[in-house]
Amino acid sequence: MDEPEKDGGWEKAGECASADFYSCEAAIRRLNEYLDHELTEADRVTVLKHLEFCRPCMSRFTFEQTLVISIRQKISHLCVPATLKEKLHSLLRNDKP
Amino acid sequence: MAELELQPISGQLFNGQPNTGQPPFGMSAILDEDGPASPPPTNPDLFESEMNPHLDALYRNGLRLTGNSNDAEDLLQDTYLRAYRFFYQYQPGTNAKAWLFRIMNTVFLNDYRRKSRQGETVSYDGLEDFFLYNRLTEDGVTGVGGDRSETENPEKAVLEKLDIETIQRAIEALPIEFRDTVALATLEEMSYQEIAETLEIPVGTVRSRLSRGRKLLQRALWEYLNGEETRG
Ligand SMILES: [Zn+2]
Repeated sequence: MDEPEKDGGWEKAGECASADFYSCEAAIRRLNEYLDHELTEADRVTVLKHLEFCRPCMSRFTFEQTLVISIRQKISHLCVPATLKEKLHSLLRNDKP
Repeated sequence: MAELELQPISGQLFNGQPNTGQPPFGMSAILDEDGPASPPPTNPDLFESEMNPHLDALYRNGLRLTGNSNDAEDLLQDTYLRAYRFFYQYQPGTNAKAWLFRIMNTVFLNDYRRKSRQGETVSYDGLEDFFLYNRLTEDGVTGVGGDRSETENPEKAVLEKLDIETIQRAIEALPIEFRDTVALATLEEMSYQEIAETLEIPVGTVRSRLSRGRKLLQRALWEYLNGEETRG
């Protein structure tokens, strides 16, 4: 893996940054991939740059992220019953194909 | 039975192994009641070390498929033992989680389909981005988050009221094609590539189902949360 460029490649002399980060729509279009860590580094920087100065989007994105993380945490408490785990463990040792 | 055959989706799947156009392992064989005629012996310790990290996620998948814990336990046991008998077909280093989920989905479709619930009939009217957030921050809204102090921290208001049962019910209410994708991404933190591999659909389809499915999920959560409220 290459090290991500410092500042995500922004503000380097002689390079033009995309103006995409001015648009709420462009950020919102990337919401799911942002939440799921599926964005390329360049796209992630575009979103973060937008959130930096757009308070409504920052508030919305924070809400979505908190919601996903919280749902995931709560559901993770739903586990295989211990009795079934033990049963599976012994079934493997007695399994006659 | 043909639709249960594993179809390779793209040359990049299965950890960069060349796509020969042949299924790397046949899901139809998994359905054979007697198992393989003379399978190579499987080391149970090795099997457990590869598969058990995914057991809870697999169990939750069973719960979503069957809708009750008794059937989910049966389905998990069935899936687990079939995976054990066919472990020699599993390619070490490939995605064990996706492999287990595919076996479970295949077994479920074959043996439990009669019990499958299709989810509710849903309307797509009024589906918007940030469905929950917008409801929670609307002025003068009644129900969850209606309190002014709560609208300043909408996530706090709603998250305190979300419990496992509400989340499960909202997921199960989704139309079946959205349910799997939303659950695997949101609950099980699978990458889009893993989901594509598990459900045997293109990554683009994962994206589009997720986009619509998460909005549907938020609406369902909103409805359940407010239902709880009015029931007191
Ligand atoms: Zn914005």
